[in-house]
Amino acid sequence: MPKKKTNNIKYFLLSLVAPVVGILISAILLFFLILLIRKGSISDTIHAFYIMGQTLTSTQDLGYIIARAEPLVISGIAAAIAFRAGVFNIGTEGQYYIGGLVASIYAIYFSFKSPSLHWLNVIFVVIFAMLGGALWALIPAILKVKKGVHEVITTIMMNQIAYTTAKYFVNGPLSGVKGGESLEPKTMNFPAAVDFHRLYDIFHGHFPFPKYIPLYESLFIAAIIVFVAYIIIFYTNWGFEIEMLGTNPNATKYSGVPPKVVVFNAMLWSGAIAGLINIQEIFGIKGYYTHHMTSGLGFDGIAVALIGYNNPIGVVLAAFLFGFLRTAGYNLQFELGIPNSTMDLITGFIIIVMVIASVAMNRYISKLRRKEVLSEAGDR
Amino acid sequence: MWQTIWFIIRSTIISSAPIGYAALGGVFNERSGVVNIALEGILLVSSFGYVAGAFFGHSAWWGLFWGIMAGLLLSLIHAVATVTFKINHIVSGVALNTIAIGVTRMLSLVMFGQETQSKTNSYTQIFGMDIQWLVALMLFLVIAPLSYWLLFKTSLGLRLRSVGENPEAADSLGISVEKMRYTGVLIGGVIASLGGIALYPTIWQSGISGGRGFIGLASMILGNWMPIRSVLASTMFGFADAIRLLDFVKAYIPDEFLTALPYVLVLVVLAGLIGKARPPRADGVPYVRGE
Repeated sequence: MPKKKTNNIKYFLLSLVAPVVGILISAILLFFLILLIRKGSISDTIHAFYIMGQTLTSTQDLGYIIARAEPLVISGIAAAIAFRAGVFNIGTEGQYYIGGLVASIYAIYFSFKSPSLHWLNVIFVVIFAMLGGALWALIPAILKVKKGVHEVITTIMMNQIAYTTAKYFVNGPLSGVKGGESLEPKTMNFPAAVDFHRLYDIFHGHFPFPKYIPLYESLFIAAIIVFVAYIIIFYTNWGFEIEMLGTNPNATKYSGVPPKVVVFNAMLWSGAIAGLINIQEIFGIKGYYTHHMTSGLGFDGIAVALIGYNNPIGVVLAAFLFGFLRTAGYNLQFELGIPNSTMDLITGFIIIVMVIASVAMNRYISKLRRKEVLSEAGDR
Repeated sequence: MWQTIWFIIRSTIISSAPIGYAALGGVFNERSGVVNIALEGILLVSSFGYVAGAFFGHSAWWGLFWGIMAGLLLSLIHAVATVTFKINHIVSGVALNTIAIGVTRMLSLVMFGQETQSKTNSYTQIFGMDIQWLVALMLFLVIAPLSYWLLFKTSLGLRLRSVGENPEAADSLGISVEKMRYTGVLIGGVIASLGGIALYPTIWQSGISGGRGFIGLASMILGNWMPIRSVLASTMFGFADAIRLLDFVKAYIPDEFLTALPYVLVLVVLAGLIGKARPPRADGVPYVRGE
């Protein structure tokens, strides 16, 4: 038995090769890009890497990193659930626009106004955001299961419809723009009893937390999602069914699990969680809804899920990597005039290099395993 | 009256062109068995390539050259990742779209001093004709029929399609699956780049592609992976885009409704039409010999 255990550690270490290779090669690319932008000044380039390192030591930047990583954690989990079942939910982008919208309608019209019922409001916001997201995933899920339409194309359509729907509601029925107040289109402000500020006030009022750390209710919701997703994926039958369908659809057929039901559920839950992606910005930071909120969180979440191997822990790590790259990118732009979009380029590059490396590693690992099995058979 | 009709026809053609080119690019990709959602990124980089090339080369020809080169380069990365290294096609597409956003914004800051848009490019004429109009017309008059001919009337087209339908059979007949898939992705990339050039040759803005690459993919599916039908499907989106600009339409119908209508239509059509629309059999499946 001890021999097998060392092998497991070996395989675990081998699975880390791809991310490390991806990050290293991307760092080299980043070095040359900065060198190019700074017209060949090596000292500037080294200084740039020093600034990136500094990002990790300042509490203010740490706050920004957490705030940027938090939506991506939720988004990554949402994407990962679908990916595990072999479904490509490209629609998380639209699902968070609608999830936020439905929750905002609740907050504006139906929420409890008494501050003592704040936590009830939080629960309802979460429920309505999840319902909104699931609603937006419902049509692609039905079309996929009943008609066999590929989910990538339907979710892309739903994304476009989501944006215009949000725009319609913000400019029309929900509009809260008063003359001369602001140029940004937005809804009416939420009642104070809804705003996700309770925990922030408690923590920052009683403990010496740096004020940039975004301790909104949404941060804890994200933590709960990670925990629950981890339990479901690794410790329940349902997680096992999803896993089986994603890796070996034929096995699912013969084991009596209806694949269509699994796909349908995975799509809906992916959408429901996606509905929660941007609650930090809507309920924690802004206190109103607008279609001009941060966009692209859904697509970033897909990348996060890919880099994190569709594993909740991996997703958290990848989301923090993204948060770090973005924050470091802003610092580079501020101090050296290096465009922070360089970081988008690097992000995309990390994904490609990492996935290529992991495809190669998987082939190597399965070769090793085969050899091992053969040698064990030879021992007997 | 006639003036309005001509205006609608002309703006339909111009608005359809980027979508139609993307759809046609998608046809070549997917017929060879490669799913390419990086079409969106190709539109973005080729649009930037045209504006930057023409602006600094002082000629629309340089614009054309760099526009196509930019799109070709992105397609080449997609081909290397999906065909040579056999990674998941959608993963590569997502990554390339991110790269396209990053690289255009970065270069825009370096070249034009602004991250979100370029300077105004005044070299938009070829043979005394407006290049946007010329490229848009070319799609309907030349490129679409030519693509049909290439895919369905030549032996290259037959090989390309065979690789997308049944790579094992094609391989056993001595057709190189990898070479054919590279051909499909690269031809598709050049065609989609023309769409980026037709987008807006005067100025480049961050996010100018606005999802048109994705809509091109939808057109391709509505067109059942057939070149001419895909281009015709794209005119539906172009038409909706064109009539949005008219005053009397604006007065009666909320803008958001018209924007969303084509997407809703696609969903309705897909819900009713499936069974007839069928992707190439090996679409999106990496080909590994002996598996």
